[in-house]
This record gives sequence, C-alpha cells and structure tokens, in this order.
Amino acid sequence: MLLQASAGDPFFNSVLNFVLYLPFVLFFLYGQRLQTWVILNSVSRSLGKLESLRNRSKKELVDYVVKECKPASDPGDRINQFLEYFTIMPNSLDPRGIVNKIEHVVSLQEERIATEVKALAPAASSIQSKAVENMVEVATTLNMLYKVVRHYYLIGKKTASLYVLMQLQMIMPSILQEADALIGAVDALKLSQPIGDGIGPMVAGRIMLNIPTKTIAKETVLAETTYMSRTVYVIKAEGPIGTVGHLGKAVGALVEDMGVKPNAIIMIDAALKLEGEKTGEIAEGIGAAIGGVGVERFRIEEVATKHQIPLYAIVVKQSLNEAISVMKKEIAESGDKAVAIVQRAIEDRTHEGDKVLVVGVGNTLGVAQ
Amino acid sequence: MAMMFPSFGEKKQKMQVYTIEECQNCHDKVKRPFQQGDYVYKEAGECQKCHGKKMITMVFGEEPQGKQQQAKSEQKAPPQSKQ
Repeated sequence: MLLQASAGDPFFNSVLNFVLYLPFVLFFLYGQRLQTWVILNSVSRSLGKLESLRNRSKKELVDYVVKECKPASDPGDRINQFLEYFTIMPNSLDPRGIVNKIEHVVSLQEERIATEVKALAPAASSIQSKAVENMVEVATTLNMLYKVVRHYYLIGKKTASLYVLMQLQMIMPSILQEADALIGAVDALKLSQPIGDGIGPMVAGRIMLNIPTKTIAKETVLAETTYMSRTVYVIKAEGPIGTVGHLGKAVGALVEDMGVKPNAIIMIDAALKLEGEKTGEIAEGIGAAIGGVGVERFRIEEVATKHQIPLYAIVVKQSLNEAISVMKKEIAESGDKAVAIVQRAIEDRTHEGDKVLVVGVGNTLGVAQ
Repeated sequence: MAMMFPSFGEKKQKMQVYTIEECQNCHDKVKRPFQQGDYVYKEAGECQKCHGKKMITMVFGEEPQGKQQQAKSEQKAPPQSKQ
C-alpha cells in the first residue's frame, strides 16, 4: 500500500535505493572484517573445547596418581611443570648417523619420563608406572596442541589476518578429532584395557601362548616354537604393561647376536584405515609394518637387507581414534583371522626346516603372552 | 525443534567394555563386564562345565545396544540417489 502510494515520489525512490544498496556497500567495505569476526568466533569455540580437553587430561592424570599411586606429596605442581617438558630432535643437516642420534635422544626422553614418574609415584607398580607414563604423554600432547592453536589464534586476532585465521579454521576439525582420540585413550590407560593398537601383540601373544619366553631387549620378549616343521621365533613387547618394547633391537639381537637367520620375517601391526574402509579388515603386504619415529623400522629393514630376509606385513585396519581407544569388538575378533593368515603365510612362503620370525607390533597394554 | 537443527559430527557415547573367558579344553566362552585387573591371556579359573582351565582371550569395547542398532540400520539403508 505504502509502496503503491509513494511509487511516483522521487525522494522516496532515492531512500529506497539507498536502503537496497547499503548492505552491498557495507559488505564491500567491511566484508573481510565480518568474515574475520565469524572465523575468530568459530576458532575461539574450538579453542575452548581444546582447553577443556587439555584440562580434563591433566585432571585425570592427577586423580590417577593420587588415587592409585598414593604419592607422599601433592603431585599437581610437579605434573604441571612436567607437561612443559620438551625434546629437541637432532640436527639433520648432515644426515649421516641420524638414526643413532634420534635413538639416543628418544631413549633419553623415555628414561627421563620414567625417572620423573618414579619420583612422582615411588610406590606404583610397573603397570601403574607405565599407565602414568602413557597418560603423561597424552596430557603433554594435548597441552602442546592447545598452546600451538592458541598461538596462531592470538596472532590472527592481533594482526586481524584473515588468512592466518582461515588456515587455522580449516585444520581445526582434524586437530579436534586428534584431541578427541587422545582423550578417549585416557579411560583405557587408567584401567589398563587393551587398545586397538594392541592387535599386533595380541596375535603374537596367541602364537606364543604356553611357551616359555625370555627377555631379548628392554621390555621385549622372545619365544621359540614349531609350526608345520618350521622353527618359529615370536617377538613382542612384554605385556600386560603399556609399552611398545624395542623391537628393532630385539630383531637385531636375534639375527646378529644369537646368529639366527630367519627365512622370513612376518610383522603384524595396526594400520590406519581410510574413510570408508571397514574396521578390523586385514590386509597383507610387503615391508616392515611398524610406525613410530622410524628408528625401529630402520633397524629391522637394515637387518633384513643385510641378510636378504623377505619382510612380510599383515595389518589390521582401524582409525586413529580406534587405535588409541579401548579395542573394539571388530578388531579383537580379527585376531583369530590374523593368526590364520600368519599360519598360511608360514606354510606358503617357507619350507619345512626353515626358520620364521613373527613380530607383533604395537602397544601391548592389557595383553600378556 | 531439534530436528530442524541437526548437530554436525558424532555425539560420542562411552563404550561398554567386556571380557571374554574361554575354556582351553571345551572352548566354552563366557562374556562378562570388564573388571579392573583383567588382561588378555590371564588365567581365569576353572571351567564350570568341564573343569578345564579358563583364560581371558579378549577384552573389547562395544557401543551401547541402542546406538549399535541405530548404526546397523543406518548401514543397511540403501543410499538415496538425488535426481
């Protein structure tokens, strides 16, 4: 009615045009600021979630130490200080001998954490100490994630740089997914429940059931058995404590020090699945199936190459979240299938009288032998 | 109202953890809730059926029943093609 009545009024038309074009002009002038503000809000919400996850991991760690390990004094301050602990990886400008350097630094880091945990909870059992070490690792990683994201968020806010904030917003879902996975691991660690990554040690443990074992490297055991007229050596981290053992050193000790030259090395490990792949699916391949910083893989590959030993890999697919949370039913049920595949691989790829080395790779938390 | 604004991402529910005890003689399996101190390949006493030795062969987490059925029905539903 009003529009019809004032259709011929030039003043009204000017006002109407102004009102219609104003948003476009405003958006043209302040669009980037508006977008920056929207992204800042979105990143700020994610940062808040990350902070709450970091605080939760710290609280869970302190609670566990207080309840289970009964320390003499309040561990809060010491744990806070410990979360800031860092490791400087060796310089690789000259890569010769870098593996030994990395191994040295990593073992130093492990020793330092173990000493700190011992000081924190002197009365803790070996299982509890390892649980605390693993929980410290989770809390430290979450602390670092939170601090790095906060750093870029504040830089973006200070400089009002849309591009810094956009990059941060783009990677936030992956960071939050990783943080969720880490916090999911805490429950399993507290109760020493097997995690998805423990499928390798579980398969190796099943093969070495009721067979005497001996320690071949730190936190790593070896068993010797026979299958279809083949001698089978089985190596895994020593369970049920939460450790990955020192498999590279163990394989080296078996082949170099004990003089056992296997005709095949079969490694079983958990592998990250791609989206759409089924959890617990088993795949076979060639090569050393072992993750980590790369030192263990280097050692095994070196021994295998030197002695011309074929390396076979059997992997059980799972997501990152599943790998560090309590083992899912699908993964646990794939253990029997994986044992059958190992047996078939031994039959198909070796002959009677041959020697075979089976290596169960992964964190053996909650999985004995 | 809630249906109008679906939440993005999964709502995570705590998994229920179970222990499977298996008789080494008659292979009878018993599923029970996880207790602290359970670990895979731990001896678990005597089998009530054949008096053989029982051992923990699995410890695993399962999603709560309701959510599991929902996930199954979602998997079974064929993808709808948009034309």
